[in-house]
Amino acid sequence: MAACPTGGDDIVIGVVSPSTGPQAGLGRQIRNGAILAAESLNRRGGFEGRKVRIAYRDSADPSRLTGLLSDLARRDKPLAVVGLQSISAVRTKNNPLARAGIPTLTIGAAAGSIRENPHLFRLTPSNDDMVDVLADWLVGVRSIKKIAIASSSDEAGRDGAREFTLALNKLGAQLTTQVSISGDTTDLSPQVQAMRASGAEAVVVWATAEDAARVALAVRQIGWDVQIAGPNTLFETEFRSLAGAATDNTVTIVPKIKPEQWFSKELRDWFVEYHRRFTLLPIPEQRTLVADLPLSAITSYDAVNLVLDAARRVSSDEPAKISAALKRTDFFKGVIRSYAFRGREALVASDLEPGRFFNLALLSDISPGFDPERQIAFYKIQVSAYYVPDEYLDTKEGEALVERVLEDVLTNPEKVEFFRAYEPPRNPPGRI
Amino acid sequence: MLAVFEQALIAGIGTGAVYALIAYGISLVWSVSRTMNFAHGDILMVSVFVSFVALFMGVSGPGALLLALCVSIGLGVLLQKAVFYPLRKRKGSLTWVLGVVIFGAILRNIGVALFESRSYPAPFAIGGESTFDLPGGAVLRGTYIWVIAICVVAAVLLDLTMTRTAFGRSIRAVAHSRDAAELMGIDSEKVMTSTFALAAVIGTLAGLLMAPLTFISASLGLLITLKGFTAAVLGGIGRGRGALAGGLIVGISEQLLAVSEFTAPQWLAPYLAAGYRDAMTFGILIVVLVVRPQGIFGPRPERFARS
Repeated sequence: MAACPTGGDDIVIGVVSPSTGPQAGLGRQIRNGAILAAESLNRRGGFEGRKVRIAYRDSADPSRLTGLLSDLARRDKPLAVVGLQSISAVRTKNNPLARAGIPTLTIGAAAGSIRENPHLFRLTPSNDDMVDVLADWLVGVRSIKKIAIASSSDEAGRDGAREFTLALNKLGAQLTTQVSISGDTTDLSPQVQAMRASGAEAVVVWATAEDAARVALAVRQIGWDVQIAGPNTLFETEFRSLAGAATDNTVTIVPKIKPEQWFSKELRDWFVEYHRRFTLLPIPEQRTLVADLPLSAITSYDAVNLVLDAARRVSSDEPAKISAALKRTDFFKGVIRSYAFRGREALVASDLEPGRFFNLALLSDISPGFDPERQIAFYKIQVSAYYVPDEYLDTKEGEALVERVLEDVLTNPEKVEFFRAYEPPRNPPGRI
Repeated sequence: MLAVFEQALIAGIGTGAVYALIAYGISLVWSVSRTMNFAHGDILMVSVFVSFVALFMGVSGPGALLLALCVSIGLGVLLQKAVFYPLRKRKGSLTWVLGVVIFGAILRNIGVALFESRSYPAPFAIGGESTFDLPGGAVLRGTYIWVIAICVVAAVLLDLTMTRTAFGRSIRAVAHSRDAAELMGIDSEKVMTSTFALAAVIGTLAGLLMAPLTFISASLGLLITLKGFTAAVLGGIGRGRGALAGGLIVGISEQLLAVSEFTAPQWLAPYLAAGYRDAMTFGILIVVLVVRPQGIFGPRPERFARS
């Protein structure tokens, strides 16, 4: 290993994410995932005998971001930086991290092009790719020609709405109206009525998880039977916990992941470890029965390991060499999916597909295959992570406790039977 | 577009009724102490979260409500006794303003530390999921009927308390002239403490009514205080009926402006886009205050000079 340019003997990974504000949920997952990765590695002896340390910076205030990145690069000298909900501060090659050759792996920053900065990597889908997949599905597969858009006023919302409008024009579909959602508006039913009055056959929500939940609830409250669809923010825990039953039949964009990967032992162990480490109170977060999977935390966890894998391959801890190695990554096995960078993007349109929430599961909309036993098993894992102490896991007592808790969470014993007999509805809502 | 206008009006009246109660609490504190309670929204947020946690722990609905109200009373009294009273004794000093702001910030930070800055849906419903279709195409949620009804009943009870009870008369006496009230044998400090507690209770009730209409977060207190303050000043600070009117105006204008690009004439629509909404809301406030600085129901300026 070359002489260490990082601070001291520790291997430092920088994490930049918001701890307050509308994206605090995403920020928290990014931070926790990276911390979990570092702690797991350190319990196994660290990286090449060196301790892995996370250097965290709070990016809630965008006006201070450049200063924070400069401070991070100068004081902590990280191998790489993970996080950033927006790439505006790192888009160009003149930002503090790129000048130091430090690779930046963004999670959740869907808007904007990463081409200009040669050390910028994106681990989650871009708006461009999600727009392509969603527009093709709505117009091409579902034959919906009139679409309304509801978007947040943040960068990702504006960018997504703009790209989606362009995509609709290319596909010969009509944008009936566009509404902008402001975070402090209590009730969105008037805006939803406006979309309904425009004759829309589907509503695309390009917004934060919380704003998307407001839209979904308002659609349900006015009794409008319409298809709701949106980018991967609809998969966030916050959307489902806030929207509740209104989640049902919404469509989101997810990476193509095989069913056996969703329910693997590796994911189960990771899941239990994550919740044991970070869940403060056993407050069930969801109001649907879809198992809660903190995808951003998993991605952040994988990002730390991706960086260290690149360092191992080039036998160096110089950020610029690690950046070059990352670019050449053509296969890295993560917790639930593998990574390969194409143009420094880990996920492109061909890796994505629309997924529909059917109250108990997130299914591939194109070929829904639902295995209720596997779904119940996964749900039990989640419940046990919240409620079951270590010594009872995998014992009869633990099983019995989980069954009792499941009944409590479902609030009605009859629902347990419903769960087992559940079949996903064949027809999606709306015109089709 | 009638359905859009109707829907906005319904949402505006519903949220406006809640803002009215919040403004009433702010006005009440101002009337006896001539101070703005910048921690009003944070007190109500803490109390609402106490009710959430109580419900989750299995406490019954009425029990959770009682607990929330007790917490709000405690915080209102604490604010008055520990912050406002000792700091305001220094004549001419404005350190009490800082004290109240810091009190609110402490509550907010405790809330964020415990519950993070994420939002939560209310663990209870008011009025169930019933809806009613209106002739114009809008949909009236049963929740709104209940919220508006409860706000009206609360406003009537408050009005009766202020006008028909000894407690209410003592508040009005202290509001009119503290010195005169003292001379008449009224313990003005006790009245102020009771008023702070009553305002906190009103605020908590408003918060609990707001919870089913939106998502609640620990950091929402500041925004609620701002809206309540706007409503109170718009209606005439120190005036109960003014607070109610101001709340409705803020609620309705907020919702109408949110959809103004769909309901306004085409030539005006581009200027009413969502990005200008907040500027429009506060612009209206400024216009009203320039034309009528005492607020809509406030006393004429010469009456301010006399008191």
